[in-house]
Amino acid sequence: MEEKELTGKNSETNEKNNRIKKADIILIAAALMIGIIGLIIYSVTRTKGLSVNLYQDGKIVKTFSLDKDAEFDYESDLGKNTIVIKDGKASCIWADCPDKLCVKMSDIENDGETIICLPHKLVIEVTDSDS
Amino acid sequence: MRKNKQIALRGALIALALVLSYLESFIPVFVFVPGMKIGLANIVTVIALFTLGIKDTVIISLGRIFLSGVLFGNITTIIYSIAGAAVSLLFMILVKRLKIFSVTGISIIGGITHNLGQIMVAAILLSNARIFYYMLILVIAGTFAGIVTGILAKTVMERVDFNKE
Repeated sequence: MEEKELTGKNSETNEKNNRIKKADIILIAAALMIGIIGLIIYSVTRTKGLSVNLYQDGKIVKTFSLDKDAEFDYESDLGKNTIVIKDGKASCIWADCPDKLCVKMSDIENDGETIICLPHKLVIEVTDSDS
Repeated sequence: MRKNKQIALRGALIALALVLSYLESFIPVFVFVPGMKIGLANIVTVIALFTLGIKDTVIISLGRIFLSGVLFGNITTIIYSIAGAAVSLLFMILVKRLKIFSVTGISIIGGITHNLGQIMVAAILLSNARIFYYMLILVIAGTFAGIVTGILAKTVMERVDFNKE
């Protein structure tokens, strides 16, 4: 059985690499702190957006106001997405892309928040400028 | 004989990585950020880096990305995978040289920088730099993913002797 035939040398070198070290703990703590503090700063400083821009390939193709409820089908060479504005929030409720990640992403309402459909190169972004 | 064994081992590890990335598509983890993954194939990358060396690790990563791209993805998924793998491998090689991190620490660096590489490609492909704010949640996700894959890679290396003649 291969698993039982650990040679002394190999298990020794493994042993050295395997034990959790102080640097690991510092790394975990630092990474989690950066992420959590960043998210706290983000959630405190965020402001409610006024309108939503629809970007295809980095260019604005459509702008919606967040005040008015709307439903819009966007179609490009890459595929179709259905975008809905409801109660001041924007979401992508339907898409014909394979992964449907844009549909699963949560509703957006704050300045700078985005919904991204990678296969369709589509970005739905909230801005604080008037449409 | 040594060379045959090396070729067979590379093939087996590519196959293992391929199966892991396929299996992963059935696990809907971290549903709070869609698209987030544990990166189980990273287990193989870490094992290769520690037991076979840099050259083999690059060959195994590229083999896995190419095959899974052709089988389950497309050119876009291949570009994202290569970016993630290249950035994470580069950082893992660098921090491994420092000799201050264990397998788990190096795997965490790999997890975080993999996300960084993919966000960079997304920002370029979408021509939108503001999506970098996702990196905040991805740092946290990458840390947990790195802990999971690091512990699994460590466990496998403790039980299997890859350098056995």
